[in-house]
Amino acid sequence: MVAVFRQLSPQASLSLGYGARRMTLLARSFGWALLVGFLGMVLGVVGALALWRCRNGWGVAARWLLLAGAALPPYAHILAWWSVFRFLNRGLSSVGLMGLPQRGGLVSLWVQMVAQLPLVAGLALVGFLSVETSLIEAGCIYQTRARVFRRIVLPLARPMVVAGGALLFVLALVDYGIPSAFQFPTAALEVFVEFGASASVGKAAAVALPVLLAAAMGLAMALSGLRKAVLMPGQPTRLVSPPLGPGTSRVWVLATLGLLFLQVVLPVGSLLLSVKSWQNLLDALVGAMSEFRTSLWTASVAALLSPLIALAPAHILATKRAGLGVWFLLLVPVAMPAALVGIGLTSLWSSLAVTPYGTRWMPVLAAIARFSPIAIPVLVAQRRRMAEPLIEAARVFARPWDVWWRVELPMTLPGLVSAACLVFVLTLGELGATLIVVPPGYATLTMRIYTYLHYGASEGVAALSLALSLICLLVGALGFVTWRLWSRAAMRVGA
Amino acid sequence: MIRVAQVSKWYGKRRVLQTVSLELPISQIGLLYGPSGSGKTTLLRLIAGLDRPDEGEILLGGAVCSTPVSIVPPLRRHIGMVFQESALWPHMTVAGNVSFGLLNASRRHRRERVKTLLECFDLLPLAQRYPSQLSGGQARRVAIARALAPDPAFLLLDEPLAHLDKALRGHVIEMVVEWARAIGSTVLMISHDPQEVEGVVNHCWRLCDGHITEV
Repeated sequence: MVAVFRQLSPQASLSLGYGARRMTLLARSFGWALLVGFLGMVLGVVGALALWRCRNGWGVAARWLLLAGAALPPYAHILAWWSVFRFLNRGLSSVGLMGLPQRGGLVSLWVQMVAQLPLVAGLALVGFLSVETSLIEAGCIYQTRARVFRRIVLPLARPMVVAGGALLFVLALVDYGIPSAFQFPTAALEVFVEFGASASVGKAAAVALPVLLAAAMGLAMALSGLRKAVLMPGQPTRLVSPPLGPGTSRVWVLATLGLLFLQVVLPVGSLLLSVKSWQNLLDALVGAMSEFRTSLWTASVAALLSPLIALAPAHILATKRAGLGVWFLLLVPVAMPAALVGIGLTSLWSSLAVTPYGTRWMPVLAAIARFSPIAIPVLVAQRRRMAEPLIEAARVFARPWDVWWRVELPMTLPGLVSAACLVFVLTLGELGATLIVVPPGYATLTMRIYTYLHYGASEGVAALSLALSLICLLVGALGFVTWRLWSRAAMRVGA
Repeated sequence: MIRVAQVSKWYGKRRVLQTVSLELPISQIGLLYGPSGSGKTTLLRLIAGLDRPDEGEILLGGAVCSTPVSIVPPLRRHIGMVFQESALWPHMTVAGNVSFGLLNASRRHRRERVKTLLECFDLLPLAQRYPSQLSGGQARRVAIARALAPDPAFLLLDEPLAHLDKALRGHVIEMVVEWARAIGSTVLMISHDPQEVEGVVNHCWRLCDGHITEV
């Protein structure tokens, strides 16, 4: 960030000239991102309610499957919704009706919202589960379940519900992957365009500044709820029959199935159908072997290093009484437009004598810069759920270093694995920063997919997307399973 | 009348209540006591409709409210309840907590009722405070006032005198009994120390390891 903004001069801002086009673009981007955040939050609450209902048997499986859908890369959703709109429009035109729009703000809003739904629904669900059972029961004695939900559960879960919406706003503002695929220009894309056209870091920074400020505000709004969710100690309260709003349980089961369909079945199913044959999948993979290797290498190294980098800040946030300001400072890179991260890294490293600039380490550094902050909350949450007496017992016998090395670090391993899985999945889908820092002769699979996407969907794109989606789902599932197994083990020892 | 007939309850493989029966006539005050973990709170939760019995049935005012296969929701049982941990809603003021059970009443009636109750329990100066700003004893009194607010036909009190200092206990129990008599409530309370409420209860049961005996 420093590398970029030290080159931001009044001249750069003035020469850029926030003309009518750019002002309109900014206003449109903010409005669009706000809508994504707000509607996503509403849909997230409905999703969380449906998941809250799923407490036994297959319901729990549906809950985890839906949340694991977060691991799917955005282009899986893009391709799926392209196919859906094409299919629907064919049907509509056959009966003489006008087709649905296949590009623009409305479509990208829907896809962006659906793609990020697990994040919002997950946070809202944590919010609902964090409300003490006795508070809900006390309410149920005096009022209807709908009223208890509206007046007790929702206000108490509000920080986390709002955090979900605010994070969705931030993501919609800083990443241009989905809107660009639906030909909806946003301010985040404009940063990339400006840098591509002028090669001026100052001008790109001037374009990015309002986006960064708005995203930072969104992050600040999310922090209170996010911190609450992350610092929530141990297992949430005992589950009671949730005080649902109107409607029978069948309605909520249908809602869950609908969400599961939108989130997992539709993207994966549509990719499977588009690939048509295993031979196509094999051909596409062989044809993109070099990109495939680059992607896996980049994601693996970033996944290995990011959690280690996040360890120290996570330790501070989990054990010290850090204020929201510290949280904000550590997480603010999340609010940086992806292209700006790439520009900053290029600007920083290109001026040094010994430099990774122009090597394949640059995409790794970009991924680390973007996703290390995301690993921090995972590690903080895990550290908070550790059995504190075990660490205190070790302090009686050993020096601080030995306590950390022999007790804390091994106990943190599941968190490190989960964070690594998360960073791996996010890096595989990264585009905005990679596009700027990738050295000549190298390309990631995501870059190739997006390049192809702009020429329209094909079997090849679907095959590559399917391969990446399956890897993401597997790694995402590994992260979830590690976390769950550890949580259960920790509960057995009394964490 | 509260009638518990041959009720059993399991938590996993542990049988918390074993064919428990009790009958508390209308407008009378009953006391349940016994050691920790003997099933007192479980029995109160079953009567409130917050849990379902695995065997037996529970009748309130002559109507069957809980059986292993059917349950009348707590809202339709006309009960007021004080929870073991007060369970005050942290985002509502003291007045908001007390008036929650009166949301269907007119605003004027609600205001008057809340004011009377707060005065009665010496809580009026604290009306606009939030639960986090209250002491344990003040929170307990708010919980009792909240339970009394909607004129419940059945009042269930789980350790109502916990967190209260000795000087206040007599006054609070006196107020509860006075209110309950005025509105004709049937009161079932749990207490660790039966002597505290010796003079006011009409019936007394001892629960031990899930078995009940009338004392």
